[in-house]
Amino acid sequence: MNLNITNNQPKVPLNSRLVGNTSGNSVKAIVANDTSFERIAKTLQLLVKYLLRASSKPIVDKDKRKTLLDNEFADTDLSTHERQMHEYCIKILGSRMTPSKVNDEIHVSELIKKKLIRENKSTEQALRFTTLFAKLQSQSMLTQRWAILYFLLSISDSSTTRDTIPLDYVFSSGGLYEPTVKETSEDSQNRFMPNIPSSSTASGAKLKTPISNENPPTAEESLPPDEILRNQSTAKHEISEDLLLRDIVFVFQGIDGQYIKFNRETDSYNIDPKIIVNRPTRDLVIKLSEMGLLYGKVDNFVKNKINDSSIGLVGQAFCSALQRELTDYFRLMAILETQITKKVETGSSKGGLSLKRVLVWTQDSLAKLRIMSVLVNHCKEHRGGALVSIIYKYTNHGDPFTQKFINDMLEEVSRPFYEMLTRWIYEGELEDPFEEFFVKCDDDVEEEKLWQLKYSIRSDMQPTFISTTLAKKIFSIGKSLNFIRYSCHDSDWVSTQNQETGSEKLLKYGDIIALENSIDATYTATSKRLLNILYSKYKLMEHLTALKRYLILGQGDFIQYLMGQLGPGLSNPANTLHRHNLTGTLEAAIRASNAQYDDPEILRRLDVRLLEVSPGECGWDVFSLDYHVDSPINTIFTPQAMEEYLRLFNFLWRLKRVEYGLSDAWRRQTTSARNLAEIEELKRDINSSRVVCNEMIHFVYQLQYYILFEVIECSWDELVTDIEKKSGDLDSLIEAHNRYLNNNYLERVSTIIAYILQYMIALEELYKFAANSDNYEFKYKRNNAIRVPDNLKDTLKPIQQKLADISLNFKAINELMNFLTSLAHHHDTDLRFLSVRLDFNEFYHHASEKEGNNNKGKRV
Amino acid sequence: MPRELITIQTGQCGNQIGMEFWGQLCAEHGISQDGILEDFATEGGDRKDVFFYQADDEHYIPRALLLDLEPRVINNILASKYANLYNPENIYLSKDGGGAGNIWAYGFSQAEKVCEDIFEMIDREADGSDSLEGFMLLHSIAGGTGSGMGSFLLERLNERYPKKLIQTYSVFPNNEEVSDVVVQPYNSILTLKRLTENADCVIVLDNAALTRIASDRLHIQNPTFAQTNQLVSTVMSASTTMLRYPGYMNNDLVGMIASLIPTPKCHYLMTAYTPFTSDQVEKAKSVRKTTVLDVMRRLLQPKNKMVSTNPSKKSCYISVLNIIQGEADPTDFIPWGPASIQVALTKKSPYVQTSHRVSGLMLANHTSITSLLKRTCDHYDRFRKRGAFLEQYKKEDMFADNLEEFDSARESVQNLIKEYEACESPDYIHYGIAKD
Repeated sequence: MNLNITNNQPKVPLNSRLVGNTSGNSVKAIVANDTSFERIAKTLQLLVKYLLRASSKPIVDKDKRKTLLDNEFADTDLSTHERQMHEYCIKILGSRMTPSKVNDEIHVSELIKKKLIRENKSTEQALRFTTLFAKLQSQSMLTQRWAILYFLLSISDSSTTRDTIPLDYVFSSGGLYEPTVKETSEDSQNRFMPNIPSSSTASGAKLKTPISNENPPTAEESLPPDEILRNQSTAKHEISEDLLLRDIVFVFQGIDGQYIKFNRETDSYNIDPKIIVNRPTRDLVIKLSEMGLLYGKVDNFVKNKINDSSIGLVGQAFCSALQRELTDYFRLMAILETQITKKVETGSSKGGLSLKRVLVWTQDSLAKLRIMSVLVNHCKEHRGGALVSIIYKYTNHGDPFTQKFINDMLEEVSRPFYEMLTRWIYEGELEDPFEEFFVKCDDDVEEEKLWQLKYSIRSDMQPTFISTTLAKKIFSIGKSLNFIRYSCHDSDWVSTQNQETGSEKLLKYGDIIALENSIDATYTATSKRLLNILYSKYKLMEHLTALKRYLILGQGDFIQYLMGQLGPGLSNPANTLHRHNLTGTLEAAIRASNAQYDDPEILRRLDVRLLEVSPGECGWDVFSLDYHVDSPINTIFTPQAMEEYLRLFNFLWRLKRVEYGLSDAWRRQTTSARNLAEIEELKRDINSSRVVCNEMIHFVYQLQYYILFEVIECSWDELVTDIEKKSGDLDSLIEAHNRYLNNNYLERVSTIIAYILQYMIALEELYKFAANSDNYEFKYKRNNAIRVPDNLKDTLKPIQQKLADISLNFKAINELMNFLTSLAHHHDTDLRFLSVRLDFNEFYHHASEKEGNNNKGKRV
Repeated sequence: MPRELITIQTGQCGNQIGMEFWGQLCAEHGISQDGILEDFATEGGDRKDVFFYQADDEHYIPRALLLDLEPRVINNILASKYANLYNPENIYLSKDGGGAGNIWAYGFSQAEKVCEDIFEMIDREADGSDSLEGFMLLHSIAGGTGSGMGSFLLERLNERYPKKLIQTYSVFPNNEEVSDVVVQPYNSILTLKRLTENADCVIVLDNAALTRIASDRLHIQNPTFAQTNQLVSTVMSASTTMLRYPGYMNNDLVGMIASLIPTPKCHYLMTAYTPFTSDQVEKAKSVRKTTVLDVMRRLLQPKNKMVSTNPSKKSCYISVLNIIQGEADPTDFIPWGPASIQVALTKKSPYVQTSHRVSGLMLANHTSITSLLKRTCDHYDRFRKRGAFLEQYKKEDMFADNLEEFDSARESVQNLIKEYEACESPDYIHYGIAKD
């Protein structure tokens, strides 16, 4: 239908052209009859005479000349006929006849000759012309012979061959359109036709006098031109409104009319400068021609884009919406056209249609076209959701008309978008061939990482009427559906769910609240389902607990066994460790502890992992427990999260190792204390080693307590609370889990671990000493010796020295004190509590004060 | 690696509190009176192997030795519903059955005589353990068997298992009341020496305080031994929860007491427990809501302490292990090293219903224990000055020639008091060195 109308367009101008021709017929006839060869000759003679006279008179300037001419006009007693004839010629001369031909009088004379021969079918007149021309040439006073000839030729030409319009044009453009404003004719000429060469005005003025002087033509002869002029000046007005109406209809359809043409340079419709239109009409036409411009723009866009698949579904919907509007527009055009035809046929000036009426009638269309053109302008570069967003932006318009129009259009444009949305939230399918939806799918991503990486939000495609929260929910719903289907292999639920809700709810633009509600409901249902699957089918909670029990050392007996069995072996170089031995020990530890009661499915995942061995490392450095996670739970236990778990395990494992080492040391101290006689030389060392050991035990225990109970248990509690709420989706669960993990370590642990390692070194040294001192003690106990034999004193000395150094290093001044200070001023309140915990009775505080005082004293 | 503990209960008192203790443990682990695991208790989570081992028929049998020189208490046990729980091979009853007559020296010498029989039992139990952590001795220090035999065992265990820990739950007599055991100052001072020199950790259970708690907190006037013993068994089971319900920390005895006892000699720990309710002692009414903070606060209140001490102005904590947190004045702590309240959180037995949500046990190493020791010394000194009741002791070999052992014991206790007092000063770091 649309196409038909567009194809029909060319017919319309054809019709109107015919109409135009019929209206101009009378004028043409009059002119044609009147202009006989005699008249030309006569006028030529008159002209020649006049010119001879005029050239002999000195002319000072334009103004003077004008008055002169006017005076002469007044003096000479010319008949009205002659006067009119004279005026006629003046008009011709005053017209804007810019010679386009070469300035060659011979050539013009040849043209005239040929014309005369052609028209009269005999050479008689041509010969006569040749004679006359020869005479004219001989007149040396005439300087502008070519111009005169050309002028005459033009007159004859226009009266015979050309249709009336150029003639009309020629006359009307003479600035004498309104006879009443004769005085201002020159001004109006200049105003309307700035292109007129001043020479023609001059020549026009020159013509005046001879006409008044010479014999005027007879009344009979001069009547027709008079009529022409009269007819022209009155009919011009009427006709041009009709013509303009006709033209306007073309223009409305983006086609150049006869008078109103599109100017590419100014990108606007201009009335042909050669015709005279009064200002109000002109303005009216200009106003109306805006429609044409707008139509052209919109139509152009539609034509260009409708078959261009790159604009996408939304773009196509947009084009089709525009096309629909344009069809409505054509309907209006058809009505206008009928009206115009009717008017012309009846010929009545009261037919009803006028430019003004058209203007009124087309107001709505104009407004629509304006909006459309604005939309077209802004939407050109955009696609999909972005396009919808842009259109949506215009719905916030105060004008209810505009608002409604945009809303209607938006409903249509967003239809493909809503279809995609519906598919996405009810089926999880992403049907988006042109990448217009705000969810992006990366097909290269393997299923393992479906949740994290496969889908992403394309924020530029997110329509602005869908808030970010809503968009996230929508995103999450579809992602959850896919996750349920592909990762959890539960497509049944998705399809039943889809049948239940999807069919009854067709989403469309307009009802944002309904959309939000529906999305909220789906979101809750989907997230709940997903979490339930994870909790029940994939035992998420069990995995979390298992990780806490095994990797965060919650299962004390298991860890104790592992430590007891592995401990001695781990002190060996790392490359002497064998995985299968460690795995065996792990198995044994499971069997020997309460871990045996755990789900075999979970125990199966527990494994030993040896980190990469670098030279010089011992077993402690590379040993780690590991927990295997597979799809889909690895979505929560991401590699990063697992790494965090391993880091935590390693840290706690080291701490545990220190604790066990200290326990051993303490046991040795305590049990030996009751067995050994006091050895004078060792008394001091043993006593101070006990004190240092006590400090270390205190430190490690408090640190452990802090990490395990205040940090891990509290985070765990938060996590469990989060999980129990069961609100939110998988993302929020992942987030909660990450928070749980992050809470634990971040910077806290990294600070602490540095100290712990230094502390460990100190402890190793202490072991050596303790072992050595044990030897001494045992050696001499039985003999009841109270003195260390002299020969052993030398070996004792370095040990004593070392011990003192280490205890000094550990204690106070260097490490611990710094640690406590840094803790006490840490921005994290929890860490400050640790500092309080470690220095509860302000022992270190006093010690550092004392130290400070001592230093001060020394300096003084 | 369960880190097993072998319990040795000696004398009337030791066996009585032992019986209560085992009853409590069985209830907490869901073990029936016959040692069979109850159906509801099969899911694990606890660690029974520290205190029990499994016989071939899956029976859980306590790693316990029941020793007495007179048959009355043990016969009571064997007549009770828990008769089948114990390994009959682990019960030693003196053949003559006359008891120690409340004389330390007699108990000591009797023990020496049956030493081989007893150590056969101990060795057997020790062999049956994978990784023996140590021994737990339950006894009173006032009577004859518990103190005398207990002291002997402490000495011998030291020699035989030098690397194992020895923890004792020692019931101190009520010095305020007139006791039926007139010679208890002698017995006490002699036992204290062994506790000081041969044990690694002594948990002091003060009968005076227990009676006070029973009357003050539980509103029982003149509590029976059974009632006070229930208090004791509650404390004992609470102090071993960490060993029996493994968690992050303190999963073995060393882990538990290492932080409590910084120097070997100062190893007398006092306890406090709250709340005692009708679950432990009938007629006691639970009238309050327990919160961690509340429990913590109460633990630090002197009236909940199960040791009656008279803290001086200088008295201070060496260490505290609490299962709950709370506020304590930091100036209450030793000035020569870092110390703070350690808190250990443990699970509660799922099989025993209690009316309170939170309960707390405090194990504290406090220098005010000296007041208890001093009181004992005072009593001893008064007796010793008069030379009263020494005849009974002189009958035994140890005291036949002279009474040096008394003096040595007295000196040992005096040294302990001195060391505790030294603990109150920052100079403790150099304790015992200046003498050079």
